[in-house]
Amino acid sequence: MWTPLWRSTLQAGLSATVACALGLLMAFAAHHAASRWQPLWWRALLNTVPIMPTLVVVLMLLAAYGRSGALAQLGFTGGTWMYGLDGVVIAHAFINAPWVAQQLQSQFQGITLERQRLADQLGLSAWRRFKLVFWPLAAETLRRQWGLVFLLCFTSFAVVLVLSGSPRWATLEVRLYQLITLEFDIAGAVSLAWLQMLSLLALMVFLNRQGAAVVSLGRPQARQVRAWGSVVWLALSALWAIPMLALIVRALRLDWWALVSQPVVWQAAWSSLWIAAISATLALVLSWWLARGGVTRLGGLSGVLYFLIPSQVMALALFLAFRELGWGHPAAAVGLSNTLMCLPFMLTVLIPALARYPQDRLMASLGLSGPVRWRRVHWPRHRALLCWCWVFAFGLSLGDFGVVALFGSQDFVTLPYLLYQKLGSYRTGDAYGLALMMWAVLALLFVMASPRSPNVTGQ
Amino acid sequence: MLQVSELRFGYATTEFRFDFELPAGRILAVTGPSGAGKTTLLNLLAGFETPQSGQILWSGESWLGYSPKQRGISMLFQSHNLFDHLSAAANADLGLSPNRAPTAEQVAQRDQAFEDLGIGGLQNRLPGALSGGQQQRVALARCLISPRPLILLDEPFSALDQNSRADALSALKVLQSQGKTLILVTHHWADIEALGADHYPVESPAVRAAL
Repeated sequence: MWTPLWRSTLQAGLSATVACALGLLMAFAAHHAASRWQPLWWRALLNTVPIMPTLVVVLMLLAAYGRSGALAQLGFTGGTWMYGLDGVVIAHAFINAPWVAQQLQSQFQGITLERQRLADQLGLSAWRRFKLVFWPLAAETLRRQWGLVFLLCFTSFAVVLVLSGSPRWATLEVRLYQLITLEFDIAGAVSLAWLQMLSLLALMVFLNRQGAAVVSLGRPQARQVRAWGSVVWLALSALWAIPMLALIVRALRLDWWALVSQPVVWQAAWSSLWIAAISATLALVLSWWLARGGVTRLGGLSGVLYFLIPSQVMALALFLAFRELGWGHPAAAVGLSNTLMCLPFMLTVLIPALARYPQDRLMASLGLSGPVRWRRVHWPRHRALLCWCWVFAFGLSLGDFGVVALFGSQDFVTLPYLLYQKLGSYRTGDAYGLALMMWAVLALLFVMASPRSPNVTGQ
Repeated sequence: MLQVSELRFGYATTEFRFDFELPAGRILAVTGPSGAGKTTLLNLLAGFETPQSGQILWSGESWLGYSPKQRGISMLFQSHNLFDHLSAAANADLGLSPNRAPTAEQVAQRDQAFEDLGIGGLQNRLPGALSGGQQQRVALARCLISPRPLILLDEPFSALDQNSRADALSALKVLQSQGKTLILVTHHWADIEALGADHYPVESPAVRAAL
C-alpha cells in the first residue's frame, strides 16, 4: 500500500523538476531566439502538447525513442529505457514543459527595455543576467507551476500504465486499476482511493502556501535577440518535433486499408465522437450555469475537486454507484466523468470572462431576458470563448483514457481504449494509425478554434 | 572631451542631426520640444542605436564600433533603474563589479558614495522601501563608483517632488565634483541654472520631403 504512494510521489517529483527545468530553458532560449525560428504554427502546436491525449504522446515517444523507434533504427541503440521510471519522467516532461515555458515566457515579456539596457551597460555575464533579470520573474511562476505539474503527474494514469511496465512499477492510480480489474479487490481499492485522496489533499495544502512576489513589472517591451538563443531554441524544438514526425512517418507506412476495414475502428470512432460531443455540450451548459450563478469561489473549488478525484478514483466511484443502482451503461460512466473533468477548466475561463461584464442590472432594466438576452448580449459577446471552450472539452473527452480503462469492453470501445488494446496485443502499427487519427482530428479542431482563442489553456 | 560631430540618425520621414562638444567634468543640459530627439541622442551615445553617419569621440577615441558595455557610459532612465529584489547596496555594487562579490575596498568606496549622496544608512533597504528620490540617488551612487566617466540622464527627476528634486540636483553636483561628465535631458530652466550647466538646445528634426 505504501510502495505505490512512494512511487507516485517519486515520479511526480522527478517529472515536475525535469519539466520545470526544461521549461525554464525553453522560455529563456525562446526569449532570445530570432522570430523566424519560432513560427506561429509551431508555437501553437507546442501549446497543444499539454492537452493532447496522453496515449498519443506516449506513441509519439515510442515512435521516436522506443525499442524499435526512429532513433534505434538510425543506429542509436539502447532505446529500452523508454520503459520504467525514466520513460514515465520523459513523457511527463514532454507533456508539461511547453506549458511551463509558455507561462514563463509571458512573465519574461514584462521585462522592460530599460532593464535589459541596464544589464547591457553594466556588462553582466549571461549567468548574472539570467540571475538578476530573469530569475526573480521566473521563481514565483516556477514554484506554482512545479506544484501544478506535480499534481498532474501524481494523478497521471495512461502514461504510467503504458510506460512503467505496469505490474512491476505501479503508482497509486495504476495500482487502483489493477486491484479492480485484475484482482477484483474492491475493498482494497476503496482504501487505496482514500489514501490517494488524503495524500492529494495534504499535498495541495502544502503546495498552496503563498510566497511573496517581490517583482514589479513595467510595460511589456521588445526582446533582445541573440544567436545562442536561436541555437538552443532549435535544439529544444527538435526534442518535440522528432517524436511528432516519427509518429507521422510510422503511421503513414501503415496499411490503412487493413485498419479502416476493421468494424471495431468505426465503432470506436463513433462512440468516441458522440460521447465527446455530448460531454462537451453538457459541460458547457453546466459551467455556464454555474459561472452565471456568480459563485466565484466555485472556480477554485472545482479545481481542487479535479485533483482530488483522479480518473481511477472517479472510475471506482462510478463503478460502485452503478452496482448500487443495479443499472449503468459504460457510455454514461465515460460521458459523466468527461463532463466533470472538463468543468474546472471551463469555469476558470468563464468566471473571469463573465465577471468583466457586470451588467445584469442594466440588462434587467432594459428588459432583456431569456432568449433575447442570449441572442442580443451573451452570444455575440462570448461566442468565440464558448466555441473555444466546447472544442477544448471535446478534445479532452475524445482523448481521455481514464474511466474508460475500467468500463471499456468488447461491446464498448472508444478510440483511446482501442489504441490501448492494440498496444497490449502488439498490434503497434494499428496503434500508431489510431494515434495519428486522433491527433489529426484534434489538431483540425484546435486550428479551427484557435484564431479567436483566448490566451488560456485552462489549467 | 566628448566630441559629437555631424551625427545623423533617421526614421522614415524625419532625420535627427547632432553636433556639439563637451569638455570633461562639465554638465550639459539638453533641452527641446518633445519629439526633437533628446532621448535618441542619449541612445546614440550609449550605443543602443546606430547612427547613419557622423562620429562620436571621447578623448579622441571613437566609440562607434563599441558595444554599450565597452563605452565609458552609465545611463539613468526615468524608472526601472534598480533591481527590485536586490538591496540598495547590492544595486550600487553592480557599477563596480557586476559579476563578482565586491572587495572590502570596494565596499568602503560604495559606503562613502552613499554618504556623499545623502543616502548613508539606507544600504540594506530594498528599492521598494525607498522614496523615488532615494531610489534615483542609489542609481547615481552606482554611476559614481563605476569607472565610467560619462553619465547620461534622461529626465531622471521628472517624477520627483520639489524637495527630492533639490536633493537629487545637489547629488549631481557631487558627481561632477568627483570628476564625472554629465549629460542631462531636462525641461526645467531652474535645473540648468542651479547646476551651472552648459546648454544644448535640440531643434525639431528636419522633415524629409514626402516621397
